[in-house]
Amino acid sequence: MEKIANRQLYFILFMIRCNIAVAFLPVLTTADALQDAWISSMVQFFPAALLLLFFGSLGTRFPDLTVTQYSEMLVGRWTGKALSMVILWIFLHMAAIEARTYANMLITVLLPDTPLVFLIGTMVIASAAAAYAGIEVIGRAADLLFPIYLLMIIGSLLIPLPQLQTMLVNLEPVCARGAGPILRGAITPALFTVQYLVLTILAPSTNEPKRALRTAVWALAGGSAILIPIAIVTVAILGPVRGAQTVFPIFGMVRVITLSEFIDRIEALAVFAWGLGLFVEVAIYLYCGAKGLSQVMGLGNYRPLILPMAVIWTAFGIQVSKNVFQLLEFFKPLFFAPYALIIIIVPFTILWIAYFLRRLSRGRSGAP
Amino acid sequence: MRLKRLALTLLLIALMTGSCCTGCWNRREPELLGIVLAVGFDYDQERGLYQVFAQLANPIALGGAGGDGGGGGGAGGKKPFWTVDAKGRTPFEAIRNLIEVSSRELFWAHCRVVLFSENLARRGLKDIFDLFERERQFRLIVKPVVIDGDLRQIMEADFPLEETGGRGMDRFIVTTRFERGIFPERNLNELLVVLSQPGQEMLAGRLEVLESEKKSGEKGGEAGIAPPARIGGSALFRGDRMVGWANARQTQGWAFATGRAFRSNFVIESPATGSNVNIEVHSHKAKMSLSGDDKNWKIKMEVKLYGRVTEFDGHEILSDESELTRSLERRAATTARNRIEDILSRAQELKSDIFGFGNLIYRKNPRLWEKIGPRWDEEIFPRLKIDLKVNFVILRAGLIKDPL
Repeated sequence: MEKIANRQLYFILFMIRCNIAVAFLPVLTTADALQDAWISSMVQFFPAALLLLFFGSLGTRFPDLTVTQYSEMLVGRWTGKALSMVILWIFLHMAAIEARTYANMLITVLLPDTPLVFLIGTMVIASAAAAYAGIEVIGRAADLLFPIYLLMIIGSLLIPLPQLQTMLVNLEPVCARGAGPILRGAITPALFTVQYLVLTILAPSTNEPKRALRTAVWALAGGSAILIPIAIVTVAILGPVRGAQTVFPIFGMVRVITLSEFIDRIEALAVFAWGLGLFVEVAIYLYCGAKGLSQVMGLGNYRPLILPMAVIWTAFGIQVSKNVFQLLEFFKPLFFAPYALIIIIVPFTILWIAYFLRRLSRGRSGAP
Repeated sequence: MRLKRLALTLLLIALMTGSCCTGCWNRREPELLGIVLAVGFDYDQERGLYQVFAQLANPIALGGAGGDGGGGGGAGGKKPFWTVDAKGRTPFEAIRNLIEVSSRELFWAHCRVVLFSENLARRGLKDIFDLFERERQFRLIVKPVVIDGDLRQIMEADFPLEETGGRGMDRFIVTTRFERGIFPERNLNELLVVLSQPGQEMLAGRLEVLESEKKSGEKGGEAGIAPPARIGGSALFRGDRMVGWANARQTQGWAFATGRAFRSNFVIESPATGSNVNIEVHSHKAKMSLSGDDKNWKIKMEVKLYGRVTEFDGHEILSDESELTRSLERRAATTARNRIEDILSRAQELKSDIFGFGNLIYRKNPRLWEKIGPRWDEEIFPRLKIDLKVNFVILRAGLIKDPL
């Protein structure tokens, strides 16, 4: 069986987490946190970690099984398959939405006439090739890409530093409007933990499956920690009101920074980092989707599923929203929160209940 | 074996992708673009149309001018740049209408300065700001300038040391920033941040068009060309509308008060003989603070300037710390203070809070701001008394001690 190191899992999950912030910085744009967005970035970690522990710790009870396997074991064959499909659906949906957001940015800013299918298609094809090559390859790609990714993110946060000192005033007043805006800003980013459902498929593939959950929590912490400077710099440079108005805040911030008259127009950093992160992300979603589906269907190999799935995902990336307004509306807490919560809470509550019932009945009958 | 099959599949995919795209969708050859160096906006009041001026680089003439060592107007007698203008109901329509008169597709990303006519600035710049934020080619790192005089003239003007006018204006602003502090050098993004935050108003730089340019330009003598424009001063805004001018000295006062001046120069009278002493400020600190409770608040502004004597036209001894140096410091502080007070009273007269006192209250005491915010512009700011402290330290006196 193919294995990845826990380090590689960390890199993958870190990039998945961070990429959402690079894409559209939900703490700032989805609600009214404004200048308190950086506090929201801290706050969102706690509910996110709770959710992660909620669905992750069930996996540690079955270190060698993926969610599709242990759900069949726990709740029976057909119910288990149905629950697995709910979880597999979110991989498709998140991959489609994120590829679409990226393509949208490219079209808005760089390539106004290029067809959507081309931009999404190239990204999905590249990711499909990686997924076809297997999880080990994706892991090694993450090993290679993660330092570059982090360097570019940190670079685009360091270059505006000289400008920051006069613009940090934009972060004031701190917490002036009470806790409401801060909490509202934290909702969507906290619920982006749905992305971490990939852990339920990936955990058995790691070297130390029992430590996979711990790795995931650290990745979540790392991804949230980098969110704080991102939020601070973006709000400082663009101002809270304008930052919240932009469609792609990080990109907007990077576009306007200049370092002493000669370093400017460095948006390639942000676009490139985003693209790298998205590649790993979509590859992982595709791999997890195909792997999960092959187990649900009882196929021995997941590879034949990759190509047809890639085609479907490209098509879904185009169909997932009619226009940019729908896409942005989807991430508003009012819509995204119930959606993501249901996806996480419903299947895993059923699984947990089944798990405890099973233990209870086993305990009564005396079997180990 | 499997690897081979994978490679084959990938190759096939690559070939297929290649066959479906017959060309690049967004192919743009640089030699077919008209690169915009500077853009100017005006408003035609009678017809209610926006007018846009674009200064395009002329690569043929640009290359020639470099080659033959700065000879006249470049190769083939062509000017290294060309200014076109068009009108439209919105700024964007005006820009699109430029296509009708220009032979090339315009490319805006290299534009370094954006000029507003006084006419348009007084009417409001909201539409232009929206265009700059929304359109993908514009960068918010352009430098906004309000033009005092004829916009067309400055767009067409030659800057003798520069190849193109746009580059000339850009250099103009950068140089002034480092040498004089009489121009509020902020890019459009910084200006928009000011506009978006409560309790502060924009201050944009001013470029004054000098009338003599055209006449001497026609005579043709390169050496005899009078400067096309003079930089210095600023335009005060309320919201997105300009409400008045401030002169260069007043702008310097603003730069001192907000900590944005780099170097500034002033001449003071020596206390003993009344001769002139020239003092250059080379660094400074400025701090604003809010004290007191909701009923009895006070804004304090502390400005500390560090300078050196660059010219001393007296007979006194300047070699050691004495009453003379202290007196010079006091006089220099008074001069700086006068400039700050000057711009403050100008701002109060125009009801434009360019210092951001209201923003200071909003930041430090948001509840107080909620109460007084609505009345700030009309009632409170124009009558605001601030506690201003100016301190001047003369650090050094150049290479010699006593004057000759």
